[in-house]
Amino acid sequence: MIGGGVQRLARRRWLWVAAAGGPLVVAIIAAVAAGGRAPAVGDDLRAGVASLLLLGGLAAALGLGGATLNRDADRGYLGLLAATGVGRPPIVVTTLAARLVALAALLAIWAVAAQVASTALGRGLDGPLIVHTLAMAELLALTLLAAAAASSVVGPAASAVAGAAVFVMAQAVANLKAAADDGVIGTAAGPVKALHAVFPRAVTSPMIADLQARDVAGAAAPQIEINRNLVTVPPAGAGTVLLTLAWFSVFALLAVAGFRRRTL
Amino acid sequence: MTEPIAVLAVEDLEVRYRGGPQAAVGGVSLTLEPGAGLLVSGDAGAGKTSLLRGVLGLTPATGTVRVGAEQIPGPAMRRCGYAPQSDRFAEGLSPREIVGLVARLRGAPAPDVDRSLDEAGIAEPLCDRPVPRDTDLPHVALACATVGDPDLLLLDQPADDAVTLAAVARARGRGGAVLVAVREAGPDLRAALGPAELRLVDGRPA
Repeated sequence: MIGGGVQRLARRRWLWVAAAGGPLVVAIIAAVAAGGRAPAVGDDLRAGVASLLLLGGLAAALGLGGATLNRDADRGYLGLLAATGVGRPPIVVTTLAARLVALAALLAIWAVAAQVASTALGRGLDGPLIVHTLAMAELLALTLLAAAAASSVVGPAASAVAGAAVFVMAQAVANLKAAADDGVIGTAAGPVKALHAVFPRAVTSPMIADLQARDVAGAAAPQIEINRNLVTVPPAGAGTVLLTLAWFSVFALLAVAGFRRRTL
Repeated sequence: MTEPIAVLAVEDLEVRYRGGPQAAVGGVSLTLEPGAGLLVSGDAGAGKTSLLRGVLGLTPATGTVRVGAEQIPGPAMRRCGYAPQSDRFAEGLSPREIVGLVARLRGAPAPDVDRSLDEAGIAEPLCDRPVPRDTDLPHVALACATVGDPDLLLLDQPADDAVTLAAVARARGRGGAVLVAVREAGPDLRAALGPAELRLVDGRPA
C-alpha cells in the first residue's frame, strides 16, 4: 500500500516542480555566493540552502501533510482500500509513511544539489550542512505529521494551518527556552521551561546556531531579540531530537484516532 | 437438509452521521442468498450510498452485517467487491495499477487484473495511463469491484449499460450476490437483478 501511495504522489506535478526547482534555487544561491568575498562563500551557501530548506521545505510539508487523509477519503480512494478488508489503522500508517517518503525524497534531492554546489565551489562535502538538513528533515516531518493528524477530521487548508501552528510552536518553544536560559524573560521562565519539557521543539543544528549567532543566517534564522536583549539559541541536544521523534508517534496516533469514525 | 448460508445478511442497520439530526439509514434488514440480486432505489439523498457504506463499515453504523458466516467489518470484506459512485478515487494511478492494488489487497491472483479490465471494457491503451484529475473513467470502479470474483458485489450508481449488466449476470451466475444502488433502474438492469427491490425513502424502506 505504501508503494501505491508513493506512486500516486509521484504523479503530482507540483512535487516534480519542487524537486526540480530546489536544485535550480541552489544553483542560483551558489552562483551568487561564488561572486562574493572568499571568506563569506561558505556562509552564503549555507544560509541560502538553509532558507530553501525552511521555506520550501515548510511549503512541501504542509502541502503533503494537509491533504493526507481528507482528500483521499473524500474521493473514495481510502474507502476503496478499506472495502478490501484493510483495517483503518494500517491505512493511516501506510498513507503517512508514503507522505514521509515523498518529503524525504524531496529533501534528499535538494541536499544532494547543495553538496554538489559546495563541491563545485571548492569546499568539498559540507558535513555541518548535512547535519542541518537532517535536523530540518525532522522538524518538517513533525510538521507534516501534525498537519496529517488534523487532516483526519478537517479539510486541507485547516490541516495545513494546524501543521504550521505546530511548526511555529516548536520554533517558539526552542527560542523561548533559550531566552529563559539567558534570563531575559523574567518570571515567564518557569512556564516556558515547563512547556519545553513537554512540547515538540525545533531541532537547531550547530550550523544554524553558529550562523545565527554571527547574524549571517539570513531568512533561515534571523537574530532573536527579546526585551532588547539578543538571545543565543544553542544547538539542540539528543533530548530534543528524541522528544521530537516521540511526538511523531503522538501525531500518528491522533491521525489514527481521528480517522477511526470518519466516513470513507 | 440445511439451508445454504446467505451471502449477505443485514439486521436492523442504522447509519447516523456525526452531528446529523436523524439517521441517514434506519430499520434496514435484508438477506441475499447465493445468486440473488437486489436493486436499492430511491431519490437523491434517500440513503442508497449510505446503506452501501454502512454495510461495508465505511461509515459509522449500528446493527449486524454478515457476509457468509463472518461479521463485517472484518476479514470477510475481502469477499466483497465495492464500486463507489465516482471514479475519482483512481486519480494518479492507471486503471491497471488501481485494479492491481485492489487485487493484491483482496488476495486475488494477478491474471484476474487483466481479465477484470477486459471485462470492464477498458481498452488496452487506457489501462496503463494514469487517470487525470477530476476525470471519470467509466468502469474503473466496476473493474475494482469484480477483480477476484468476490462473493458479494456492491455497485453504487453504476453505468446502466451492457458492461454492468454482463458483470451482474456473471456474478449471479457463479453463485455470488449483487446489490446495486441506483436512483431509477432501467428495464435491462431490473431484468439482470431479478424482482427483488428495496426502495428507500428518507433512509427507510418504503
